[in-house]
Amino acid sequence: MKFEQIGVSTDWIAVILALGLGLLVKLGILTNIPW
Amino acid sequence: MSTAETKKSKSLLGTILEKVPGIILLFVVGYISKIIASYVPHMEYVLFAILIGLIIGNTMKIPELFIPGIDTYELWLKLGIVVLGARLVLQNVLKIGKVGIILVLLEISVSLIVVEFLAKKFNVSNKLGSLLAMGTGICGVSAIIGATPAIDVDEEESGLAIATVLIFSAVTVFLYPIIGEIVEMSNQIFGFWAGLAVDNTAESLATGFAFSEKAGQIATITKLSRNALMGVIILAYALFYANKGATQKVEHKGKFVWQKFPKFLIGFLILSLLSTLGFFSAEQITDMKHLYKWIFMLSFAGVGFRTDFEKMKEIGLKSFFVGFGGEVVVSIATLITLYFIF
Repeated sequence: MKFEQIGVSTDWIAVILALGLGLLVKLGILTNIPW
Repeated sequence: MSTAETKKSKSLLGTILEKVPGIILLFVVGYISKIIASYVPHMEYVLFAILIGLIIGNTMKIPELFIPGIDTYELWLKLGIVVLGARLVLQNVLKIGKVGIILVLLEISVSLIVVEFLAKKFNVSNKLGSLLAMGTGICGVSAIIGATPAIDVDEEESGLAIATVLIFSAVTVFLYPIIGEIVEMSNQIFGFWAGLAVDNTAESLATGFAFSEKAGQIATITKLSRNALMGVIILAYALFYANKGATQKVEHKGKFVWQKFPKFLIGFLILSLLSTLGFFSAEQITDMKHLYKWIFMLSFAGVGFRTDFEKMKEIGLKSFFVGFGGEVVVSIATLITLYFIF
């Protein structure tokens, strides 16, 4: 994928995004997510 | 900001923006499959998402505009796995992982021996045989891509191995849930089976989640145990071919293994640890569960688009039979072992 071509690993992007999402859920900013 | 920095930030923004149309397409396909599944009893949306992507991707030419976004399916897969970590208490991860790692070692040994044997029988080149063995035994496309430079295989053989692994992953993702339903497998057995015997990570998880939520979670942990061993197995092959003088020597073994290690596994364990320590409330864990379901939906829709039957036609009979034989033996051997254990 193109991210790798500019030196960014999708592995680490996934980890950072997931931690960010976890924080948003923890702070109550992302809440009552439906499915 | 210097000119170089401006250029870099522009290219990063451009890279992100060009993915938006394809991501929207993944969402639409995933959401439609979710609606269809709500009308079909005992069916998860996963197989519909793959099927719709597969039909669109193989019957019409997808405009270039959507391609970069469709290619993000792998990022969504990794992100979904990390977020799923929050749903699983570390003790359970370790408990499943402990059984999983023994089964994984067994599965990798059977795969490598059987596929290497069949490759010799069908006169497939040594290196293509090794790629097929690693693709079947460890983690499909990622293992093949990781091993291609390590054992110095040409692009054509690497493409053959990838196409072979993908064709069987595409078959198993539909076939396994049907077999599971017919023989009324438990979630535990099916989850381990999907994690052990389906080659590619995306299809392995899709197979598990197509059966049930619980089976999907077990398949994820088992598959991650397989993926974690990727660096070690590729290193062993690289050393083997280097000893034969067929490739260059591996200078830094530790660095080599780390480079091939799936780093998102660390994120998965961090979120599982946070959850175990009570960082998230019960409601927040439910939110995280719904989040990973949306994220996986994007990934599974992408799996269908990525399955290109035209490319698979090129694999040739020899690779096909080696892959087919390996797949059948591994599927049966792992299933018998699972019924023996549980």
